[in-house]
Amino acid sequence: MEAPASHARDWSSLPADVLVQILDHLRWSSHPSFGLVCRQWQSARAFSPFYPAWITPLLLNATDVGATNLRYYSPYYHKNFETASTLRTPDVKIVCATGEHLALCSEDLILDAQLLSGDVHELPPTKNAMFDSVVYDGARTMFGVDTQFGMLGIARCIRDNTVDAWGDWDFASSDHDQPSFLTSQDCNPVLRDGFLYLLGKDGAFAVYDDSRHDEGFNILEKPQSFMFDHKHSYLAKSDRGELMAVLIGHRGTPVNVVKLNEHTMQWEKLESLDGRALFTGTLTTTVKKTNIKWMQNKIFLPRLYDWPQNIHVDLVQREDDVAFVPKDGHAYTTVKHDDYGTKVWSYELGQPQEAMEFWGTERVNYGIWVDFST
Amino acid sequence: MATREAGKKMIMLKSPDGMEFEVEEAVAMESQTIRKMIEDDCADTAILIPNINSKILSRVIEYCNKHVPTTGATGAAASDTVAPAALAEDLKIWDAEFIKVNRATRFDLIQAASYLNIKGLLDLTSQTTIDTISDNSLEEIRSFLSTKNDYLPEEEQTIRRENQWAFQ
Repeated sequence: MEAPASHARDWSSLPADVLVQILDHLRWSSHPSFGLVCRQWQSARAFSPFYPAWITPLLLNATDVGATNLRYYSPYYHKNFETASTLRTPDVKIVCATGEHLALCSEDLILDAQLLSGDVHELPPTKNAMFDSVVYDGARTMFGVDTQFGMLGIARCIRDNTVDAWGDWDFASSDHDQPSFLTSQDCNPVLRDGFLYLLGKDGAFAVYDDSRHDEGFNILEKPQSFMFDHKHSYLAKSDRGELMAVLIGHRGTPVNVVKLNEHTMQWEKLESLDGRALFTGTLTTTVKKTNIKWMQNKIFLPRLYDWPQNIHVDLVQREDDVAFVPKDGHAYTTVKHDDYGTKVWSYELGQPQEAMEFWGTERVNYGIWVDFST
Repeated sequence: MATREAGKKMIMLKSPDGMEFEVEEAVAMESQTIRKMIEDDCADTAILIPNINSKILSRVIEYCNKHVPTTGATGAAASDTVAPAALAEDLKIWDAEFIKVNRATRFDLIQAASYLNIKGLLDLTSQTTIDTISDNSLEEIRSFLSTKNDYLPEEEQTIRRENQWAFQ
């Protein structure tokens, strides 16, 4: 019996289990469009809940690495996503985040942890060297920087990815004639195009060239000073490769962002982030392009006005996207839209009024911004 | 559970428009729904399949015939001569041909696959829908599926706002 040609199938009537099956095969980024087709399709989305992990950087925190679960605070959702992972490595500190890689550090040990797989690789012993900061390029080279007493030392450790093993640490001889260099303790050095930029307390740079390892750090004559009062300074490489510094005053005010003019080698004040958002206040700072309007041109610090809801999740990768999938399969409502951005300390650059003081906020300790976007 | 005879046990499937299809039990059991009926002894020799017309049911049987694991005397000989990878490749090509049907038929196949619980067929039939949704704008999806937008403008706005990461 042939159905008449005019008989239209009502795709909006597909049963929920079929719709869920389709959703389970659909890229996460297409789920909202799927839901907008019609009400029946939107109702199926409740059975396939997820929170995208790629839309903003997330504040990773673990009060006690190795013992407590890793939590990811999302400034977009104002929720803490808690995974079952502890990284299984007691007594270490999280010192650097590069993509899904974390560098972990204890007194004499450096580890590379991968957040998606949970794999933790131990690097060779550092031979009594104490690094003040550690930076990973995310691919094969770990750098250890020693800044004690103003003397700059650097070592690197290279991973041979073909045999899946780390080589030994290679220390560059430090130049004892160099003047002492006072490093900003707030942030990690920043790696850009094979150069490692170490920020001085008042805006000076010491630079190390990976292709001239043995020369170690060179202190640049310029830039000399930020020219802005500040208590904390954070160095970042922007999404366009610029070197930026965020300068934050005592108790959060004033806030200034400066960019290095690479011709004059001077810091220049920025009045706008060109629609980007800046996530700072931890050893790692990231500058991201964002399409979320209320986040544009804002600077976010790991300080919360109100403790977020905690959701137990699995961190799941599907194709190139990473998302949090609630363990209980429950879809939690998102924040009301007039609440956006009111629960985390932020400051919109270019505003006539000064940034708010930290009053009423609680700092998220042991946090670092991680970025799962690709 | 029904005992398996030395010969192939046959099952009769009846469509609501009165057609009867005699199929091997193993083929019918590609459908988890039918498998459960047989295992629970709810099935006599004939099973009425509601809501699936003979045209669609015959296509579903065609799919199950192709996808039933080849065991037994003739099956063993086949898998001796054909490498599994080549067999899988052959199935993929066959599937691609099988799914070259119009939208209405595909819709009926999705519903049949869902009711009969045939995972492979459901995967295959929903893949085109997935591709359509992934590659097209909302308006294109709606017009392709000829679904009516049953949202009020404010409801649509709410969904867009709740998913602003995807739309702005």
